[in-house]
Amino acid sequence: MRSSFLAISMMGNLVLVAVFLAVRHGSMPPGPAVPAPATSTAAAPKTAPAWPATKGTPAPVVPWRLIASADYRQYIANLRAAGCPEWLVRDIIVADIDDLYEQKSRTDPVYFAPWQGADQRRKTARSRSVKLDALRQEKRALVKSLLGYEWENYGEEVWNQDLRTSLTFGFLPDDKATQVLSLKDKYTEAAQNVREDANFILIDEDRARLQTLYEEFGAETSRLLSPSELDELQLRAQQGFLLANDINFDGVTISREELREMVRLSRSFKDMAREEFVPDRPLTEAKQLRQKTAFEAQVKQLLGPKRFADYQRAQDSNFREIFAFSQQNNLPPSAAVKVYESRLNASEQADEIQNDGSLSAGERAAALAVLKAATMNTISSALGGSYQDFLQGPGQWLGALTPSPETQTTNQMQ
Amino acid sequence: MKTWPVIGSSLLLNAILAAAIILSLRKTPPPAPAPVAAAPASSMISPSPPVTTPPSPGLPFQWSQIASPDLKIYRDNLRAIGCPELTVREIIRAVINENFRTRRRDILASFQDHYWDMVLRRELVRRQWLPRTEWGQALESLKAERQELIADVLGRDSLITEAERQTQRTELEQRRSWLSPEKRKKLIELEEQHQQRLVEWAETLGLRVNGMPTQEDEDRLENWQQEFEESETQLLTPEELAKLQLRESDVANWAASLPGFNPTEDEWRSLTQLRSQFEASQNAPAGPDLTDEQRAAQQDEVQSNFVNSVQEALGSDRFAQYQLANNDQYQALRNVAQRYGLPDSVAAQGLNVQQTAQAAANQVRANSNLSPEDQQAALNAIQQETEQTLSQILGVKVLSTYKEYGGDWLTGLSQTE
Repeated sequence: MRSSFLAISMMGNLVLVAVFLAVRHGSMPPGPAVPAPATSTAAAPKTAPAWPATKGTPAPVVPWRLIASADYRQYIANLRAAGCPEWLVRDIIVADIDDLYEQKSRTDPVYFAPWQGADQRRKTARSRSVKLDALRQEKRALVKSLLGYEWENYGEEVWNQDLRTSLTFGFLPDDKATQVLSLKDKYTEAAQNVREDANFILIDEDRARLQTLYEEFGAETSRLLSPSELDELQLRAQQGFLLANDINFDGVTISREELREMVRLSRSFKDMAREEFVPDRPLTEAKQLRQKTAFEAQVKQLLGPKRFADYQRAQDSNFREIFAFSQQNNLPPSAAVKVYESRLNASEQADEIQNDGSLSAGERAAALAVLKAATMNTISSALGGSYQDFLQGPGQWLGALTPSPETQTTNQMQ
Repeated sequence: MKTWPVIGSSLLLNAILAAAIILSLRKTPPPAPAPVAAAPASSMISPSPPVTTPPSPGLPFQWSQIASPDLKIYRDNLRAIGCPELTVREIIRAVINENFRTRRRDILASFQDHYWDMVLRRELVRRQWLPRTEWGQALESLKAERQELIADVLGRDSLITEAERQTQRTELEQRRSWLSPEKRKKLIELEEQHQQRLVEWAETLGLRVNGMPTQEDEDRLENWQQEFEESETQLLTPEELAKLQLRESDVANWAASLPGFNPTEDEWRSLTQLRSQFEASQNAPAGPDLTDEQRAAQQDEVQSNFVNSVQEALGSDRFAQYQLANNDQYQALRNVAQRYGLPDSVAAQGLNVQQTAQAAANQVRANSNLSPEDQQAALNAIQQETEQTLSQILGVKVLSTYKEYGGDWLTGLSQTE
């Protein structure tokens, strides 16, 4: 009994001496590996290329091996234990995972013999796409299981590089912006897979799948963002409605909040974020008109009758042209309104004169000349010194108020 | 009895050794990061080095010992401890991003308040306008500074280029798999060498102020091309060279855009040769004395000769399939039919109906004996009948999908013009 006790203790001493020496030489293996799910195991830690030691310095010991691990959980634990900042832990691990999956997806390149037909190519490309998609999903799941959230270093790169993305997502904190971009990327890719599966001919089942993806994207995003952040993001995604419907605000007094409200209202007519996932079926002209009328009724309610009239005027490209001219020439908006109204009046009156059968050709020409002179007078007084420039540019329509010699001759013959 | 003191001593030694190990773990000096000669100021990160979490006791290595405000020192320290190059790059890139974050955030904050004003002024529509704004310029300048710093610390020759090169090589090897391994290897080497010369040539031009090649540059390019072609001729037999040229020609991939027609290798070879000749005839300059009509007639003849040659090469049945595959209207029907798992024969029937209906509608439109009302009534009747027939062939659901994807000609049937 005593002798075995002594033997154990002596062996223990030997082991402890060996460990002590190992620690002194910096070759102590990292702490016990934390069991990890199968998915968190990388194929193998990357081997370091031989970098020449810096001149004049002793060759350093190589502790990176003590940190990097094929087991990502262990790798994270080691980085944290070494005091590596958390954002860097994330970027190192995600980059390593990116590299691992890049290698996995590179093992299966596709080559088509030139005589391979379109059907065969599509089938092969699709099957490859499915494999790659499965790998990407596996990668995302791995990242999420390790970090607790979706993250793509690529998303961060986009966030850093693209101006439009910066503009749209700039109200969010950096990490949230990158996470939303990662989520968007994930769901956009899934939606694209549905479309490719369907060879871009969407039937009811496809639309249902896309709708589910859209809802899941919304649900995940809402878990990530605060209610006010989510509201702002939805509004920013929806503002494309204004462009899609060519809605303009030149010369309309509208507050930021009213504009946001208008964008919010538009969502019930066409949800722009949803449209990216589930494209609407083309509407008949009659239905489009009904929708436009219904939307404008809501805009009228929001702005009141006076400003709604301004809003309607802003939708006329003739007004926008005059408005732009007035701004370029530092004229007040009222000048643009006056010129536009004279143009409208002149057009109406010119139509009446042209269609008045009781007038002879000479009387018609004289009436148009009077109308033209009166209109020019009004416009000149509104534009002042910019009048001549106006005549050369957006005011060229004034020339059409006088009938051409051919028209006069034709009218005389009639 | 005398063994107890020995056991006691041994246990004491156990305890001392255990304590020494613990102390060593806490105190073992970390591997000295290789100090590097002072790097240029541009690689210094400002305003402060990355914040690290407090060191954790018990590990013979602490991050703070390799992190440095000078990114070149940081990089070299990572390399010195055996960190793989890919990871070094990622770490340096992440550190740079982190250090630019605050400045970027400040710029973002400066224009976020004006987001809705920009919407109001429709400024977001003009993508090219964004870099010209004050904030756009600030962000672009920060981006350029960031990229310059990355290039300064990590070099311009990125590892991604190496990965891309690898992928290109694998693809080339697959495309040349019909050659013997030795010839394949040599040919790829020749091509890569030639490609490398072209890249360097283009880069040299890019460095010049006007970017324009001189006569000397063009001569050099031509010589290289000749040299490359001669090397190819020396390496390959005439048959191999002809095969290579056919496979690499501009018209080689015609089968990729013909769903429903899968040529055999022989069919592909014959048709590719014919297409190649057809292209050459089309591009051949017409006689200077020809009138427009004569030129058009010449083109028609070339076209007709090509079609006849294809028919001869394929035989009548395969030619019919080939022609069907070339028909866009058939492809639209086939896509929808396939989506519902219907055979190609259904699409062919649908095409037949379409062609008959459109011919009938054209006859009605051309019939000047009909009053406008009668013409409209006849066209409406054709449209109704066509929809019914298609509905029987495709089924109601498929027809409805078809109307959405390529079947809009159905509504056009009832139009008088």
